[in-house]
Formats: sequence, C-alpha cells, structure tokens
Amino acid sequence: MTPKVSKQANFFTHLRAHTLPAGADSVWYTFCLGGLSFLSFVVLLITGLLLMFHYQPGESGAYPSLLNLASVIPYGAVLRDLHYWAGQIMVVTVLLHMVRVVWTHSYRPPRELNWLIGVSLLVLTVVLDFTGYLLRGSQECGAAATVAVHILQLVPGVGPGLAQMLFGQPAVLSGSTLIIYVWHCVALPGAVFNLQVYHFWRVRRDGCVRPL
Amino acid sequence: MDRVPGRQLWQKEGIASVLFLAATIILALMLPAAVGTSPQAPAATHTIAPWIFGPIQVLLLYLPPWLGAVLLPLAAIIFLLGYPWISKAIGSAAARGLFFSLLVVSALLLLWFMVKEYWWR
Amino acid sequence: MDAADGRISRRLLLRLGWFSLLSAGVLSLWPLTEYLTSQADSTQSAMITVQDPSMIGKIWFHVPASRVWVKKDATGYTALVATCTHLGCEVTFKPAEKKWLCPCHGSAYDEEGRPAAGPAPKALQRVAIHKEANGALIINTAQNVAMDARTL
Repeated sequence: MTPKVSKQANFFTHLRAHTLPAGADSVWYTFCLGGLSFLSFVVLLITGLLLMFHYQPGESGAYPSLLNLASVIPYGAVLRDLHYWAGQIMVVTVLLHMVRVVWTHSYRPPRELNWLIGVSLLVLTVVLDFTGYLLRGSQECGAAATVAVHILQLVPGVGPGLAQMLFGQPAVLSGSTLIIYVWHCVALPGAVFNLQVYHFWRVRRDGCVRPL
Repeated sequence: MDRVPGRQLWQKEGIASVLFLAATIILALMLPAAVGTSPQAPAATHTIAPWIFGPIQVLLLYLPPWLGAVLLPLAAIIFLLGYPWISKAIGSAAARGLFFSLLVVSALLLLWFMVKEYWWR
Repeated sequence: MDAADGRISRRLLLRLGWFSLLSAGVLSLWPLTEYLTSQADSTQSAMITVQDPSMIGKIWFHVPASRVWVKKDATGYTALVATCTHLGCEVTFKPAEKKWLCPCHGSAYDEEGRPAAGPAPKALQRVAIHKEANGALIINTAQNVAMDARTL
C-alpha cells in the first residue's frame, strides 16, 4: 500500500503527513515534546525580533537598554518575560524530548542521523540560553562570560581563538558584546531553524515509531 | 500497518499548543525575569550561574577547571552523540542505565547547587 | 557520439565546479578564522593612569573604572590586578575582613593577595608602576612583577 502522500510530493506534505501509523498520534506516546520545543522556538523568534528593536548590545549600552525594556517601554517587560520563560521552557522540553526518544528507543537504525541532529539541537539550545543570559549585561553576566572565556581558553590550541570568535572580549562587569549578540540573534537561531526543519523532514522519512 | 488520518494528530497538537501558550503567558505574567545587578553598582560579593549551568558551577568549586568544565561536559556530549552506537555495542538496557545515571547525576548536582547557592547562603 | 562528448564535458564541468567550490571553501577557512578572531578593534589599553596619588594609603585603593588596586607602604607603591587566578572573575578587597573575595567560586585571598581559601591556585598578580615627573602613577597591567616589588 502506497500512502497517498507520495502522489503530492510537495515540501509540506513531506513535513506533515496526511496519514500516519495507528497509535503514533497518541499524546501519551510522544507528549508532544518535540512539537512544543518548536512552538517555544517560534515564540522566541517573535519576541526576540521585537526585543531587538529596543535592545542595545555592548558593555555600556546593554544594561540601560534592558532596564528601559523592563520598565518604561510599553509591553517591553512582558515581551522580555515571555522571551525568558519560553527560553527556559525550551531547554526543558528539548531535554525531556531526548529522554522520551531514549525511552521509546527511537534512536535505533535508521534514525541515527536524526539522533545526532537532535543532540546538536540540544547543545545549540543550551548555548542560545547561555548567550541570551549574557546579553542581559549585568554584573552576574559579566562574571559568567569571563568564566566561559577562561574555560574555553583552557582548550589547547584552538581555545583562545574560539573564545574570541564566540564571545569577543566581554567586560568582567557586563558580559554583553556585539559578537555574542550576533551569535544569539542571527547565527545560532538560523542554524537551529535549519536543523529543526531537517529534523522534522527526517522524522517523516524514517517513519514514525510504533508505540511500545 | 494500519494508518489513521493525520487530522486527529493535528487536533491534539492544536489543543496542546493552546494550553502550552497559555501556560507560558501565565508564567511570564506572574514571574518577571530578573534584571541582575547593574555594572555601575559596587561589585557583587556573590554571583550565581543561571540554573542550567548550576551543575558546572558546583563542579568548578571542587574540581580543576579543565576537568569540571571541559573534560566532563565534553565526555557527556560525546556519550550522547554516540548513544545509538553505544546502545548497539553494550545492549539497550545497559545503555539506558548509563543514560539515566547521567541524568540523575546532573539532577543531583543541580540540587546541590540550589542548596549551596540559594538556600544555604 | 555528440551525446557522449556532451556527457563527458558536462561531467568534467560538474567535477570542475565541485572542485573549485571545495577549494574556495578550504582557501577561505584561514582568512575567515583570522577575520573572526581578530582583536584589532579592541579598545582595552594596558596602561592605567592615576593623576593624583595623594589619596593612596596603607589600605588598597581601587583605581576607578579599572581592575587595578594600589596601596603605599613604607617602601613604596605596589599595584595588583583584581582578577581571580581561578577563572578570571573580579575580586574585591574587604577592609573589614582584610581579605580579597571572589564572587564566582568562593576563592579568598589574604591582604597581600595570597590564596587563603577556595579553588584559586595562585596569588593575585602584581603589576609594574612607573612614576612620572609630575607625580602621576602609570600602571602597566601587561608587565608582571614580584609581590615584594615597590615603586618609590
């Protein structure tokens, strides 16, 4: 039996099936954790884009612009709170999604490649969470950025270059730099988005896992 | 293999999305995100890492940085990346045991961090 | 025959295309790394100036907007950089406890900057002071000196 979907080989029907194996649609099977991670990501994209209109990266500008967002700009505080909580939730749902995948053995052949992409997405999500925290530009963020730079510099050979590439030279009492801003707002979300789309497409291609 | 229409899944996902968005909005309205200490203020005497990095901050208190913050996290990531192959080599029950041990150890370190940095101080 | 010729030249073209794409990628790796790791636009200077050192006494004095602290004892001026030797956080001197405390991982140093508690491996770094003719102190944070070095 050829599923109907092969006749309409457009991109979205590849991403989203018209039919799927019985039982694979059970909420108690996947807990929607992958989908909820993507939903948080969409919330983060929207709120993050809006925050960019008022946020100022850099040692001296970051913290004042953050205070402006949190206090005087209409809806600035709620946008920031949404961005913060969607970020925390995304880390948790991505992690739980991985636990679910281990639990249902969904990493087994032919899904190894998708597992690797999933782990990369987990790592990138954590890095996004960290860079977002640094952009706050408070003293605590300065300390965190300084510690991260010193830790990266411990890596033999590539360490110092890598630290400069990822963080620049964060001030010890601020933590926000233009370089971190570009990673957090452009490069990392772009990478995550592309990996996610490929991740979903592979789920369709490799087929759903039957419930236990 | 039986197949069911995708529409059922779409409906369930729709309901889950609405509930999830509502929960996120309620959380954001009730618990504002922290702003931290101003860089202009006198230097803080104690700073705490964001919660997901709690386990690493605890490790840094007791282990040399190259071990606690480079080697151990790197080993954990490599273990996760290699999981499908590790599972094939040592059996899925043993691999699952290792995976959940890693989770439990991280959770314990997080708890340790919480006790030490938030409640105890 | 035409078709065969066409296929060969097309295949050759395709290979040439792949090859040039690959070599362009490899050749751009080093310039890209140099571009991304460049610190040429850094504004941080190693030199810190104290125009009027009259307020510097026996207790560590924090030079504003820097990580440098200076004090003066019987033998002269000495300066240190308040950067924790563990992972680089900014330490502060607590006159009441006569200790340097690090906010990140709980390292503590004694009044002279020798490690007293926590994971800090080394003493806080002393740096060179140069005294100008007009009395101003110029502190070179890039030049390390021993703990007992003094500038009169």
